[in-house]
Amino acid sequence: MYFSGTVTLLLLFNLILTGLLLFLYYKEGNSFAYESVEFISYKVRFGWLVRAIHYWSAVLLILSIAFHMFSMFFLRAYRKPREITWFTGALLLLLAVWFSYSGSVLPWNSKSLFMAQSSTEILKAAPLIGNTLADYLIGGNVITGQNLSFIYKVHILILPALFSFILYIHFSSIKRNGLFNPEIEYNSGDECKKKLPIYPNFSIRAFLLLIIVTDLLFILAVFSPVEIGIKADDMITAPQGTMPGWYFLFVLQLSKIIHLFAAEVNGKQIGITICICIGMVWFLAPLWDRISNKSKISTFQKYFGISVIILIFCLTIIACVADY
Amino acid sequence: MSESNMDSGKKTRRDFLNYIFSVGLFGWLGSVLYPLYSFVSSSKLKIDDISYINLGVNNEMEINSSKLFKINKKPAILIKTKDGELKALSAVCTHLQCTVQFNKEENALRCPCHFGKYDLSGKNVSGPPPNPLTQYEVFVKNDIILVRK
Amino acid sequence: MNFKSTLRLVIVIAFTASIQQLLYSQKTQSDDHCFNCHEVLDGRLKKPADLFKKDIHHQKGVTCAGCHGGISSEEDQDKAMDTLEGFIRVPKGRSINKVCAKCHKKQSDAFLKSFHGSDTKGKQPIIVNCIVCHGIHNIVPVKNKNSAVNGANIVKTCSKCHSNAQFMKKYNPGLNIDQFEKYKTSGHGKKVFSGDNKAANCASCHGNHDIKKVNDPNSKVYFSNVPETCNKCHGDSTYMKQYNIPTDQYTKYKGSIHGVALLEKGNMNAPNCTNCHGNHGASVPETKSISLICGSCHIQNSLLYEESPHKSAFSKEKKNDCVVCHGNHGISKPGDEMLGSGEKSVCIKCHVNNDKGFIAAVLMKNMIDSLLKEMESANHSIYLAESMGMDLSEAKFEWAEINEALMIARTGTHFGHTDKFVSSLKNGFKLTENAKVISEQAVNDFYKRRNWLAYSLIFSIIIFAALFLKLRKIEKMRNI
Repeated sequence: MYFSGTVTLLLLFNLILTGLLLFLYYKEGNSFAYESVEFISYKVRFGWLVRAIHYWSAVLLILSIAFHMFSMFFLRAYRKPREITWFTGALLLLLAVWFSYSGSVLPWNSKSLFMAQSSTEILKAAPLIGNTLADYLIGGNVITGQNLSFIYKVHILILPALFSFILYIHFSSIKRNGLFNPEIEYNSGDECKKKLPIYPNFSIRAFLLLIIVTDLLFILAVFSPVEIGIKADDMITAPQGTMPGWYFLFVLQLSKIIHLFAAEVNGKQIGITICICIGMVWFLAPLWDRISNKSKISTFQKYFGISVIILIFCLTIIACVADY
Repeated sequence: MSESNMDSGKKTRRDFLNYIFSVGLFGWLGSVLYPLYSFVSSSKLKIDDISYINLGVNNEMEINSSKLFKINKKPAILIKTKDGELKALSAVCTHLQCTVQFNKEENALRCPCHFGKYDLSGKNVSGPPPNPLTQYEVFVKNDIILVRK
Repeated sequence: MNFKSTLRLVIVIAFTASIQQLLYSQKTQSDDHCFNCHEVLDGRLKKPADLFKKDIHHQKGVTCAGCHGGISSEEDQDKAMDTLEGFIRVPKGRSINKVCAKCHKKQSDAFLKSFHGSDTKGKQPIIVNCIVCHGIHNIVPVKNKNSAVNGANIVKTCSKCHSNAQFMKKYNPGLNIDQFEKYKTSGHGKKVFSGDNKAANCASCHGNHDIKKVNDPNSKVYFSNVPETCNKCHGDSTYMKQYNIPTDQYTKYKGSIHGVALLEKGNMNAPNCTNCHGNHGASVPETKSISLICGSCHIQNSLLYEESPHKSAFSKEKKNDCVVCHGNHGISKPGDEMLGSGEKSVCIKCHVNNDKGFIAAVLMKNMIDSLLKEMESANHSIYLAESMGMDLSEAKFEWAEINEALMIARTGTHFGHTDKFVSSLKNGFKLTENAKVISEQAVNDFYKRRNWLAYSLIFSIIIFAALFLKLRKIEKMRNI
């Protein structure tokens, strides 16, 4: 339990550090963004490393938050009195996706722009809220050089402020209720024996994790560098079949499958609606899981959780395979 | 930790562990801090001025001569005509993308590949080039030649 | 029906017809009092009536009033020429067209949209009106040899104005006035002047009533419309039968590199028929001028060719310069396969048995192939280094120079000898080598990154081992 949360925190630390470093050299705007990213990657010493770590940390952060949340879901750590922790955690996941989405536009290369446009298309298909959502996300209907500046400000000012505020609530709620420990919670065993002291045991483990995470990022940075691509031209519409950001792939694949079975319906709209409904059920778990047996997870919840994870995982894999 | 009842052998072993740990830590920190330091100290480097390209002192450039430079990663040519007028043109021939050259005798630009000819305003005059060369704005400020990207 | 009744019927019909004919002609002759009076007048006033006798309109029964207004059937001169009755005296300028348009509406409408018939405000005098070309009072059908607009005469009719420098100055000082002179030298002109009306005259290309300026995209002689205009006759195999020339030029041209560039890509610098054949002086180019004609665009190739051994060899054998290797109307994009000794090689058409030219052709082909191979491998190493995240803009910039060297070498093949070709290709090899070196340096830079990573990983393993041991000891101690 500490594990996934700690990794998330370490990644966040990496992100903030590299983000600040990139902030030193990045220039926003249609005619500067691409050039400055190119400058960072090629001219600034170890610029490639900083940029790659920022990129890969973001990817891993979303994965680790998701993993953190899945494990909390099955352990039912959201139950009273920890609802606030659960809700803020869910918000943090959404914010992380928003972070990743806005960050992907900033290098202003055509591939990432197409990707972001494709993600936007999916979001816009959401009933009722779609267009309003897009307004807040990109400051307009489509991404052009003009709202690049808007997206940048959201990425470096508004999102960090929101994120840290919600993170503060998340932590203070954890502090109030104590760290969730399933063994303490469900087995009335010897508490003191199982409880891990913060120093030195926990801190050494945390430090080991830091080294592992950092080394993993180093390895990814060296062997899988982030490409610079060609400069984006916002007048060109994305070619058919452009993939959205990897975190939206499962929505796209779902809508494609729906489209396959019922060609006449708007696959994207139904796909995103289904995803939003499932997400609502998932995120509102503290509200409907009150009556179940205290120590045992209900069959419905078990199967619901497992099927959601399998669905997302499989759809993403299928989409990746289909791309090749 | 009750270190006092340790015997000396265990103590040396612990010292050794600590020693190893600190060596590793310093080495590792070095590998992390060095990139950090280099990254920040690169602030001396400047992005090529994004809107202008500096092409040196006007007075030092001979009359009736030319100079190749890069603009947006493509070759371009700066020409000082007989009258001392400055012209900056894309040097990418519109026929098959060879680099055009200034021809003093003809007072024109010639492409070496198929001998396409452009006049000094970039217009395609003869030979295969289908389109004129793009012209860039040239400024002289404090006797420094600047070309707007 | 027996023979008698049939005969009676025929006689009755013939009689009524002749009576009718008689009545009709008498009526026109006698009732056109304008004509009757003017015929017996003298000088200036007699001339129109004299001319009008042969006019097709007179023969078809159009009276003077048909154009001039008034009442032809009135014997009293004052009443006949009463302006209240619509008499318009001698029509001038624009009103001439209005008069003709009363019957010839279609032609008039076309004319008013043409350059000759239009003006900006609709009130200015028009440049040309009907009578300038068709004449007055002596108009005869186009098919009549005496018509000014007959195929045999139209060229002279047009040249009355278009070859008159003084006159043309008034409207278009920049326009050439040598069309007639050129036309006389053209294949079309020679035929027309020797009495063959089938050959093209002014109207065949420019149209007649609806003549537009050359730079009007609707004009038949607008630059990109020319091939189709020529094809109207030259693509018609029945029409061209007697001349015994091929009729597939347009089909070939459409698929050629020039045709695709002009007709599909809209590149107005690509040649149409007239760039090689001329327009008013259109003819088949002479053998010795082909390389000069092609050379007006393909300068470098032509210059090299003029100095090459092929020039003298071809002219000795009366071969058509550029056409020998490249073809004419259906000219396609030249490629490296035209060199060497392969199936598509054009060299081996003449060179055989390992003669000097054969060896040169094979050498050129082999050298280009090996440069292309080198370029491919350099490109691959650039790609590899780039996928490692390294900066290769320098090598990519150099790529343009390599292409340039290759292109100069390809152009150099027109020189025939291998020396110009080889020197440029060697430059290409050098530049390719250089690009490879740059990409290798980039890979070396990548190895530096990897070394740094290795350094970092070694130390983290040390830390890891130390901390792991320590942690185990601490926990063991706690459990004791």
